[in-house]
Amino acid sequence: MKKETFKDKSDEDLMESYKMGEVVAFELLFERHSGKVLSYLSKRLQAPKEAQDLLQEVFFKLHRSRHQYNRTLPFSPWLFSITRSMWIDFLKKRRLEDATDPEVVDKLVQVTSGLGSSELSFGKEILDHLPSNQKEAVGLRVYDEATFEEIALKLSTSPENARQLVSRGLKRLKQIWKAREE
Amino acid sequence: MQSDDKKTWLKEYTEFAESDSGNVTVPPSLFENLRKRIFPNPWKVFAKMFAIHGVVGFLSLGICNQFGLNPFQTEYSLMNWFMKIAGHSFCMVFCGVLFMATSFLLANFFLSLEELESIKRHQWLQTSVIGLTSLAAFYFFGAELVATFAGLWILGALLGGFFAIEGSYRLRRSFS
Repeated sequence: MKKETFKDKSDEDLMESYKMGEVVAFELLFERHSGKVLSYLSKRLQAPKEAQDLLQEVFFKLHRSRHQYNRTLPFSPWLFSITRSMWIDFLKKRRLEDATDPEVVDKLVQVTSGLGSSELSFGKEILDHLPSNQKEAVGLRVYDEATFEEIALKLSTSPENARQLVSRGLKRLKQIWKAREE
Repeated sequence: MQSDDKKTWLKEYTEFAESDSGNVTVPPSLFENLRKRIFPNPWKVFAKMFAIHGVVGFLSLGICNQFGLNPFQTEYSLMNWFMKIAGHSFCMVFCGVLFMATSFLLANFFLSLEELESIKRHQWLQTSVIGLTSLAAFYFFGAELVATFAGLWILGALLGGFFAIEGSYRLRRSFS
């Protein structure tokens, strides 16, 4: 019954009500926006579980930051800013964890397998043989040790596409090195 | 660089705003988990607070005796000092403030902000119940309670609880 009375309210009004302690306002905001947040996160994170966990964190952050919300500003960009910053924080945290995760280190070795020290010593100029997006992706992966999610963020693409860019770029580089040796 | 960041933000925001959330199914368990985290069960929080107060309240008798109860046989008690500076009536109020405030302040180490919020929602009820139970415990352990002084003590306990909860909540919220 109470939910019905809030249903017609704008997001900004709901946020105001939530600040005053109306729990049902939070429930409605979650109903209205959780799909968008999950859709945004799912495109950027490979595991659905990670996206779902992060969705909860986004709304938890919204709850904790509710008193900082300024009613004169639209709600949607505010929520998006929280979502994006939570996602970036998640990537940073994972990168720190990645650095000590032997499984990830192994994967990195696999990706860069065939790249001996002499090959890497060609320097970054060898990357000039690659198309610009592959060049950037491989550079970030090999030299900056970025994760695929970070590369995706930087190149405004999906992690899967970032993985493909790196893979194709490395394949092409190997061909170039092979040709040089011959 | 900054303008690139702005462009990326705007591009992603447009994608976010225009995304069709109808294609995405949000499992109902997600909201349920979130709700439990944000609005913890008030009974569980009260039980936790009650246990914390049991321990902290007992230990606080070491620095401030209540109604003559001195389980640690300490030579000096804050109660003597309160008595000296403000007289018997104010001493009772101060003792009540200290007894309750110490528990609620130390509870910050064991409670999440959401649990503190839950206490805040029913703070008068919670401090009253804890205060009256404490008085009953004092009586059980042999304290001689006089109605006037017990009333002043409860007043102090309510004030101590109120200010400790409000202060802790505001402080923690500003750092969250």
